[in-house]
Amino acid sequence: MSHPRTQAAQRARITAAANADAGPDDAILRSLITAQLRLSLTAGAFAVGVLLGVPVLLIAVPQLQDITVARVPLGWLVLAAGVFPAIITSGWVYTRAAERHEQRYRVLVDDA
Amino acid sequence: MSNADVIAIGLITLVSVAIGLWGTRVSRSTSDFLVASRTVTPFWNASAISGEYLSAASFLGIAGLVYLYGIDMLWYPIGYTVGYLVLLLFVAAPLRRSGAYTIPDFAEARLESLAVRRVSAALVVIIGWLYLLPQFQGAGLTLSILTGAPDWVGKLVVAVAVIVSVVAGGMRSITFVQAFQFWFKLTAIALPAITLLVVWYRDEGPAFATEGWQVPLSGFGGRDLAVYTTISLVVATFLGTMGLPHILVRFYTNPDGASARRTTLVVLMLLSAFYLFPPVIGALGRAYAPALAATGQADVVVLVLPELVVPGPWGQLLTALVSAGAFAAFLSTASGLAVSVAGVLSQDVLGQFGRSARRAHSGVRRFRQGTVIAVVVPLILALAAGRLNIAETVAMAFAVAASTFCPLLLLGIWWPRLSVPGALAALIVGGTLAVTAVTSALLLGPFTSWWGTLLIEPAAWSVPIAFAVAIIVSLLTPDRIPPHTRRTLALLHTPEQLPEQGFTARNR
Repeated sequence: MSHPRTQAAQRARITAAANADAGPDDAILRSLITAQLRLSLTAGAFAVGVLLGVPVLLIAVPQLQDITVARVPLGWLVLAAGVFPAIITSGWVYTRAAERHEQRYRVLVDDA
Repeated sequence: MSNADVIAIGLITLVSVAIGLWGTRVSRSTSDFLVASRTVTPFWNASAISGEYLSAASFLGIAGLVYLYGIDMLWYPIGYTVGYLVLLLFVAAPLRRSGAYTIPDFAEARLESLAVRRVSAALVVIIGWLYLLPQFQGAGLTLSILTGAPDWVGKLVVAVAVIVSVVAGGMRSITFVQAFQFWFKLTAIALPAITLLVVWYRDEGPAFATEGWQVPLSGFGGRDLAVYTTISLVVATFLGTMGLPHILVRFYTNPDGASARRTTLVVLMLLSAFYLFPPVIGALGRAYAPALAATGQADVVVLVLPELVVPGPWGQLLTALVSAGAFAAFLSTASGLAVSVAGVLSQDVLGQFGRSARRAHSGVRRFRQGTVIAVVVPLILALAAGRLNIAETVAMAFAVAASTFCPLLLLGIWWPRLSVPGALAALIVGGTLAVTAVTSALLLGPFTSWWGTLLIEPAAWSVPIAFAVAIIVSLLTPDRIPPHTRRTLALLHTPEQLPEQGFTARNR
């Protein structure tokens, strides 16, 4: 069993070696990083948009504040419970997409 | 209040300490995480992360704030959860691949600078202390409500229990113990909340909410600058979670970047389940016991409501359960924080004196000294401070983390032009601003004017300033970009080879 830093260093060397002798790999990696960042920003923007949309909607349309479901105000129900499925879903969709990006990267590197 | 509460608290404290002592044999060093990484599934790892994360603020504080100020306080549970979504999106996989064990480790590896490491280490200690303070506060409050003992008793009990279990137990309680803590805390909050809800529906209990309490951004309960404080809270919790000292280390148990992501996704689910319940108790507390607001001790609503609504033995049982759950929350979070702070203190502070004697047993001794310092300083602060609002104080720790480690991690992982002076300047400027703001609010507050609000919840201005400083200084010092930046970024973002593919890749 090797020390964590040793493992990290080994991985670093492997990656560095791969970068040094393979030009196409470097370009593929850079496109992977760009794709991952864009994906993360999109998922983050979606979640924040949904979350901030709730209070904005409640203030913009005050009639919504009067609706109650099972004696509980609608706005309350959405903020205390309804937003969580949205958070989980964006995390789930993101995780699948990020893994797909990495799978594509592996295929491309193997072909290169 | 009944003796059952005291027995329940005593039991959970003893069990925690006993587990710490027993843990000596099971987990001695960081290498156990590597062993664990082969057997621990994302589900159990996520349970452990959640178990360590759910503190007094989640268990008592949220219900208290919801009770006092209404719907806007729902941003606390949302923020505490979304913090992990942000961590998942931008940090989880690359950070795991960095191989860093703590944030100072990451800082040193990414920026190839000992100075950045030292500043990060100092910030870990400050954030840890800020986070420990409300854990002690919560313990003092809980014990005094249940037994009538003075506040200092509960604070001292938790501090001693943490020191004993960490000093004797060594580095860290094992994953399954923290995982158990999560499921215990979930039960301890869910059962009372569901019972109260059932009783409320069955008896057609008092109406749900008063006017204004359920209107977003209304400033109900005498809150100034409701829009500003909500934005500031959102920024602090969304961006601060990734910088909490006791969280990152658990990600190390994941074998690779992809499993770090899956673990975080499960954490999102577990936290979402937990955070359904504290607001229920806060809201029903408002309906059943509006008079509690006048006492200024809303943090106790979780503890007193069950017996108020459900008299008799069933109510007493629920009180005993939530009391034990609250103590489980103080103990697990406080031990996790104490271990992280002690690790940094022993490695980066105490280790600076006498580096020559770097033998194993002196490392253990330094770790023990570090633990005592890590716990005693916030204990003194907690004894000196009056009763603080628990969730608000924890939010201060998030604000400092968001103003310092968030720029370091996000720019460090995604921006190749981050330079050493840029990172240093961001940590120092963001840290100084946020720490000065919250400590002056803690020591000199409560303030009544608008600038007092800016100090209590600084994230909305301190985080953008920290990012701006990092970017501007980095652009001005392009010659100080760490020489191996490209290689490091490649390491962070290259997916691990699957075993069989790694083999073919090598034989290519």
